[in-house]
Amino acid sequence: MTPPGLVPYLLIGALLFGIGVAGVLSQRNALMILMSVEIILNAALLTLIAFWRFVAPANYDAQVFAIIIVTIGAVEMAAGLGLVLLVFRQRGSSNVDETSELKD
Amino acid sequence: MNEFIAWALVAALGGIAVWAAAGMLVTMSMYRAGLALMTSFIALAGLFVLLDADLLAAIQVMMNVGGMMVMMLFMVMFMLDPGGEMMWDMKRKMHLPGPGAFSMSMPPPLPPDAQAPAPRPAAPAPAAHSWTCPMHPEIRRDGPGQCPLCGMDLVPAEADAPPVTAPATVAVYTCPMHPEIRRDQPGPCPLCGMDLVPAATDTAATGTVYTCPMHPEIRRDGPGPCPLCGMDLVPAEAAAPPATAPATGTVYTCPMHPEIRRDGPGQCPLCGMDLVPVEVEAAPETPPATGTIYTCPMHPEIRRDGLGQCPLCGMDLVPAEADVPPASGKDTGAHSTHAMAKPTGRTAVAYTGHAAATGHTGLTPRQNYVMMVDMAMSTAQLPWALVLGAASALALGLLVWITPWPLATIAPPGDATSAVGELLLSRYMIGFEGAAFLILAGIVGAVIFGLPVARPSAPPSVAPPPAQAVPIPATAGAGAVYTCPMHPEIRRDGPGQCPLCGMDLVPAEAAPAPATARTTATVYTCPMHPEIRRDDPGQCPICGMDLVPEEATPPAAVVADPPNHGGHL
Amino acid sequence: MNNLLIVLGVLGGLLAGAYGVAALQRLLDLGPRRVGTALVLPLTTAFSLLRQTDLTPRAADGWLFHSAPLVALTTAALAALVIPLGPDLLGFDPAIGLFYFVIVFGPFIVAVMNAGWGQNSKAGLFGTFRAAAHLLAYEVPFGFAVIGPVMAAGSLQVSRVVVAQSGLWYAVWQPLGLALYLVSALFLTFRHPFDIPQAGSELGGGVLGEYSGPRLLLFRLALDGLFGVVMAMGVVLFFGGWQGPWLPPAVWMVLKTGALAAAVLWATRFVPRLRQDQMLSLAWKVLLPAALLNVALVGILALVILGGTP
Repeated sequence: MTPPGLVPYLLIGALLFGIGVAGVLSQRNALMILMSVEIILNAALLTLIAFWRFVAPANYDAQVFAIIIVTIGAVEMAAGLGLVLLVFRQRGSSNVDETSELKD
Repeated sequence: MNEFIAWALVAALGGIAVWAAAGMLVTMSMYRAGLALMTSFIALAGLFVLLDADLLAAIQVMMNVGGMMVMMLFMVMFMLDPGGEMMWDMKRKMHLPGPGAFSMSMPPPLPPDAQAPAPRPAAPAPAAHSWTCPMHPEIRRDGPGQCPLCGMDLVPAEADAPPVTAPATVAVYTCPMHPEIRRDQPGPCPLCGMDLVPAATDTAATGTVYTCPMHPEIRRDGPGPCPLCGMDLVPAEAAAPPATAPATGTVYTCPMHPEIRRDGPGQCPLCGMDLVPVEVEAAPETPPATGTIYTCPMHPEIRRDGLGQCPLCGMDLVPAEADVPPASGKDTGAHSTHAMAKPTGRTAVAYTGHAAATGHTGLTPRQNYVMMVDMAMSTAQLPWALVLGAASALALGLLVWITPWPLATIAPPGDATSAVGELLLSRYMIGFEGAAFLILAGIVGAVIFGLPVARPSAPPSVAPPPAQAVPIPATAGAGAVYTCPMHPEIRRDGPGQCPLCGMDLVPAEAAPAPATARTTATVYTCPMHPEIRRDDPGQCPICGMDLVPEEATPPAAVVADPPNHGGHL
Repeated sequence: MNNLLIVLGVLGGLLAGAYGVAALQRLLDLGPRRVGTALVLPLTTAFSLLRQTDLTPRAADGWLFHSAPLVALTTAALAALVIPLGPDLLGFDPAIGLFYFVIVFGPFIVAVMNAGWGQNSKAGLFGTFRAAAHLLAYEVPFGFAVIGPVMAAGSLQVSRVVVAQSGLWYAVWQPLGLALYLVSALFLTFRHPFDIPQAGSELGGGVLGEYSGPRLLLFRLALDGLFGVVMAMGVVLFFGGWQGPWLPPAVWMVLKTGALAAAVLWATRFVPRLRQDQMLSLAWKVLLPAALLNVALVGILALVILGGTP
C-alpha cells in the first residue's frame, strides 16, 4: 500500500470548504459566520500545503505564503470582530438578519 | 513510517477535522462551537505535521487557540445564551433522554407513547406503593424522585394518608406558579418547567383554608410558610377557588402579558407588575381575526401580532400554524394533526393529546424543526446552505480527483523549519520591517491620541461646544480637578488613584462640584440622542458615543427635537 | 520502549517538580519556618485529596468538567518534554523547540477555561474569562522574553540555546528579558500575586471552585508542575541549563531550578494579589512596551557581544 498521496488531503480540504460555505450561508450570528470563514481559510491552507509537499517540495516559499495567510486570517478576524462589536452596540443584537436596512 | 499507520493517521485527523467543523454548525452553544473549531484546527495542525510542515503546524495552533479565545471573550458579550444553558436546562426539566450537557441537537418529536422517561402515573389514585413528599403530601408519584416543590426525596406513602386534594376526583393538573396552565396529565409546566400538581378544586370542607397572598393556588389546612415564596399563609376568604375557570367575578390580568389570568389581584409572575382587572367578555387569548399571529415555538400560549421575542425564553417568535390552540390550555383536541411531512427523514406525527405530558411541547414537526434550527443559531435556510455546501464540496472533490497532478516524488530537501526561517530572514525580511513600522505607527498614534485628555467629539452640526470643553487641563481655571470615572464624588487636585476603587483619576470636565444645581453646570448630551442629559462626561447609554457639552439651552429646545432628529435619520 | 521511558520520565519529573514547588512555597510562606512540615505537607495534601469524595456538580457540563484536569496535565507534560536534564537527557528536541514551548500554553489555558465553564457556576464563569484575558495578555511578553535568548543563540532549538551559553550566561546581559520571563511565568501558571482566576478568597475558588478529590489533585499537580517546568526553562534560557563544573548535569539542573523557583516565590511574598484590571494594565501598558524594548536591546547587544549576525 502506498503512503497517502496528494488526493486524500485535497479531499479533506474540499470537505472542509463545503462545510465552511454551508456555515457562512446558514448561520445567523455574525460570530458564527466569522468562524465559518476561518474554516474556509484553513481548508485553503491545507490545500496549499498539500500541493507544496507533493508537487513542489523544494520551493519553501509556499510555506511563507501559508504563514502570511494565517496572519491575514488573524487580522481579518480582528477587523471583523470590531465591526460586529460596533453593530452590536448600535442594535443590541448580533443577528445578521436584523442588519437589513438597505433592503426594501 | 509504516504506510498503514500513515493512512490511519490521515483518516483519523481528517475525520476529526471534518467532524468537528460540522459539529460547530449544529451545536447550540457558542462556547462549544468555539471549542469545536479549535479541535478542528488542532487536527489540521496534525495533518500539517504529517506533511512535513512543522513550523506551520505550530503557527496554526498558536494563532487559532489565541483566536478562539478572543472569539469566546467576544461572544459572551453578544449572546443571550452563550453556553447553551437554556437548551440544556430545558432538556433536564423535561426529563428528555440524552446527555443534556453536550447537547448538539434537539431530539425529534416523538409520539406520546414512545416517550419512555416521562413520569406518567396511569391512575392518579393513591395506591399503596405511591410515593409522596414528607412536606407536601399532595404530591403523588409512581416512583421515587424529588418533590417539585421542595426538592426532598419522595418516600413511600402509606395508603391511609389522604392527600390534601383528592386526585381521584380531579383530572386537572396545574402548575403551582402558573395556575392558568391546565393539563389533564402530569408533566412539566411549559412556562417554568416545574412539575404539574393536581389542582385543588375545592377547599377543605371544614376548617379555615390558609392561602398565600401571592400564590392563591396554595391551599393548606393550617398556617405556615408558602412553599413557593415563603410568606406566611393567611386565612383565605371564601373566594372562588383559583383553579376553576373564571366564569364569574373579575379576572385580573397583566398589562404586559395578557395570557396571565388570575382571580384576584397580585403580581404578574412574568414581569412582576400589578395585575389589573379585565372585562370578562374579552378573551385575550383568542387571536385577532386578521393578521399573522406570532407565537413562540416553546411556549404556544404566547401569542403576539408581530415579530418579537418571547417574554419567557427570549426566542424569536415564529408565525403560528392555524391550528395551534389558544393559551387556555384546555384540551380542545385541536392539536396538530398535520400530516405535513417535512423531508427531513422524520415521520409526521399526529398528536392527539397534550404533548406536554409526553415531556415535549406540543409542536408540529415543522415547528419543531424551526425551533431546532433556531436553537442551533442557524437560519431556516439551513437545508439550502447544506445543499450548496455539499455541492461545492462535491464539485471540488471531483475536480481534485480527476486532475492528473504533476506529482514530485522527492521529499523536501533539508530541514523545512530552518529553510523557512532562512527565507523569512533573507527574502521576506521586508515584510517584517513593514509590520514593525505599522506596529510602531499604531503605538505612537495610540499614545498620542490616548493621552489623558477628554475628547470633544462633537460634530460641528450640533451646538458648538463652549470654551471649557477644550481639553487642556492646564487652563481649567484654578487648577485641574481630578475625579474617578466610577466615583464622580471623588475630587482631587492632582492625578492619583481613587481611594474607593483604585482607578486612575482623570481630569474632570465640569468645574463646579456635582452638588450644585443643574442649571449652572454644563450639561452633557449625546450628539445622536439629545434626550440623554448628564452632569459629567461619559458614554451615551444608548449608542455608546462620548457625551459632549452643550450650551445651557432651556430644556424646551431639547425636548422639541423629535426623537428622529428632525426627520433626517 | 524508548518512548515509554521518555513518557514515564517526563511524568515523574513533572510530579517531582510539583512536589518541589509546593514544598518551596510552604518553606517560603510567611510565618515561622517549619522545614519538616514543608516537606511533608504536599504529600499529605495529595493523599487527603486522593481520599476525598469526587463531587460533580449536578448541572456541570460533564464533558468539559471531567476532561479539563486531564488536558491540563497533558499539556504540562508536553511542555516538560522539551526540558533538558543533561546533554542527552532530552525527550523531544525539535528544531522549533522553544516555539513549541510557548504555544503549548495555549491548550493549557483552554483547559483552565473549560474547567471554569464546565462548572456552570458564576464564579467559574468569571474565572474562565479572567483566565482567557490572562493568556491573551501575557503570551506576547512571554514570547518576546524568550526571543532574547533565541536571537542570542541563533536557534530555536533547546539544546543549542544551552550550548551557546557556555561562555556567558544570558541572565547577565539580558536582565530585562529575565524579569519579563519571570513575571509572565507567574501569570501563566496563576500563581500569587496573579492568581485571581482561581483565588480562593476572591472568587470562591474560581476555575477550581467546584473541583474536589482526585480531580482537584490533578489540577494542582498540573499547575504546580507547570510552574516548575517554566522555572526549569528559565534556567535553560538564562542560566546556562545543565552546565556546571563538578556535579553531573542533571543535579545542576535540579539545583538551579530550585534556586530560581525559591527566589521567585520569595519575591512574590512582598506583593499583594493584584486586581484584574491592574494585572491587565500591567500587561498591556508596562510589559508589552518593555518587551519591545527588550527585543531592540537584545538585538543591539547581540551584535556587540557576539559580533556579527548570529
